Amino acid sequence: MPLLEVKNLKTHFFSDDAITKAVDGVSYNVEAGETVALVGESGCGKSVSSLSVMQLIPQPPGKIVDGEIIFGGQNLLELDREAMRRKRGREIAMIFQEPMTSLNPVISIETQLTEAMTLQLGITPKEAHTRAVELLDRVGIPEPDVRIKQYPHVFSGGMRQRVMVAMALSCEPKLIIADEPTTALDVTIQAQILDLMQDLAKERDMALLIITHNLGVVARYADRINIMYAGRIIERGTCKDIFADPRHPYTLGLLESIPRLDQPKGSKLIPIQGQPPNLSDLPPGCSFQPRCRFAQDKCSVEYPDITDLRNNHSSACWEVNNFKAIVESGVSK
Amino acid sequence: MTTQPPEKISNTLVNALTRLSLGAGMRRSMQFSRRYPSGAFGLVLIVAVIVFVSTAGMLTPFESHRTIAPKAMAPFSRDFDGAMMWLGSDELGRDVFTRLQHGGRTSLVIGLLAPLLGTAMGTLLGIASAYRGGVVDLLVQRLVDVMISLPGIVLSMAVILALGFSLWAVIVALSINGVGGAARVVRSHALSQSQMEYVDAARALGASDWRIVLKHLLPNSMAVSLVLFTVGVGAAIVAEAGLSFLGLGVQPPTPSWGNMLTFAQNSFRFGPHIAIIPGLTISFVVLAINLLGDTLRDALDPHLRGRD
Repeated sequence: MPLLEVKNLKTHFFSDDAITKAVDGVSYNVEAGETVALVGESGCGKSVSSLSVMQLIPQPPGKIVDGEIIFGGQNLLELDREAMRRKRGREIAMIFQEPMTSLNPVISIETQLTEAMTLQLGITPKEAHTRAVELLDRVGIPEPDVRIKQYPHVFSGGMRQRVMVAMALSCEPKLIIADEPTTALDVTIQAQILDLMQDLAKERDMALLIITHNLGVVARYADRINIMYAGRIIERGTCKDIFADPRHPYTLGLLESIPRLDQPKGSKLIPIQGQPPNLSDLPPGCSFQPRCRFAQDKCSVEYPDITDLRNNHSSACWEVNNFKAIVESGVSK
Repeated sequence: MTTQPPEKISNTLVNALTRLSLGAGMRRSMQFSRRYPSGAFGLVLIVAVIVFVSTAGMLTPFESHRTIAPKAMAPFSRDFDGAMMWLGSDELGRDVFTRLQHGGRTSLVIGLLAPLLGTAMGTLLGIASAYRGGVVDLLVQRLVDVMISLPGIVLSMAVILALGFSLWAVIVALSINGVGGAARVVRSHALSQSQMEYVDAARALGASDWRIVLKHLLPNSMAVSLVLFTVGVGAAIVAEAGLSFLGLGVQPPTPSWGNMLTFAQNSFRFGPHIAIIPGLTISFVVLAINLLGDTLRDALDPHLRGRD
């Protein structure tokens, strides 16, 4: 049984004149101890789908209208507020995108780090202090016993993200959701933080759900990948499947738009034409169809179901089985 | 022999004092006054005022409500029995110094408690309003609209008439004046704070709503509330004078700095000291509170802490 199983999740945002379908029927799962990536461009619903797992969607205007989120055999959507609150931090923790604002500026690092431990694990402040120092040491903060007394403003962005990692680890959760954990950091720091997160996850047998738009991050760290577009997952598979044998035109487009070392010098990147659709006014049929260079008549009529190819590699495209042939024949709009 | 520059002398003096002082508390207060001289000055002034009002009845032989001299005698004149009146007599021939001491008790209690109560209520209301949003926010803010649109004095009069004439009624009445403004200012601050990611981060670690409000949003709003409080002190002392003038504040013959100032207006031409003395006293207290408040705000801000 997977640790986390999201089934047909639909999270919509309601405003006076429109319903924004930020997440519209997303299913994925995370096994204990593995690293799964949720990839997509800005506004495709990847953050909303992870916030839905934590039930941190602002309600109203947001609402989870359908689906199940099964964590450790329990449907989180059926828990009451208090029970859900106890799951947070203790069993599922989260790391946010913006380390500069995700620590409270007027409270010392120590207080913020020990808060969750005394709250969720019921240990004494003294034990929590000892553990907090150990955690800071583990995430690579020098002189942890001195730095723990300081306030967030004396920490750099990378250091703050290390503190956030320590906070997420503090209650030994089974799953850590990292929502764009390195987007706000320097490239050199990005790798350090991701390596650290992966080492710690392996060491403690925690599962990691990385939300990102960076395929480079994914290639190096993820065991399995889910590609999202306009509120749905359009392709999923192992890292190798996705990079070596993409079966959806959007995935192909993403891969073509990043520079690669093995391509001849001077060859051009191919951007995906057009703009992502408005989530409150989706095109008929497949939502990628207006931008797809292989689109057929059928595509604007009906949304293709996600179909399994083999070994959990699946794609939501009508031409999933002879995708390669179509790409090679070079049919384009 | 060379003469030392003055700042060097003062430094040596401070160092010598620091070394002489035995307790760590003394050393820390020396550090505090070196880093925040204006705050230390404010603190000394407030302590002096507190000593002044708590020695009422000990320094002078007079009673605060008994006529003991001709009216409006200048400072350093003598009463009927030949005793010295340092600050002269008031419009009814009572000793101004004694009345200043007794009146200070009332004024300080009102001046500190009313804004404390008002700012505290306003702060909690503002944070709750910002954090809960939706219908709660709407209702609280419309209530605040009503409070702000009514003139403060009218609101205070209504409260005193409802609660009856007592010191507590005056304190509650004056505290209500500050609630609306504080709630509005704190709400806008808390609104921007509650959008910060650290609130989501705290929630993602399992913090309850109460915890987020008390441990995250309240400390973040303290700087704003502290400033509102210091501004409120002066306003409350003066507003009490207004209520006294209307016969709703502290009732004569019980003195307060406010009603001393108010009743001095008829004798201002021939005894200006009767108005100037309580007026100056109020100004000094307000100045002291403001200096201390500013310093406290800086000292409580981790960004400025530990910086010389």
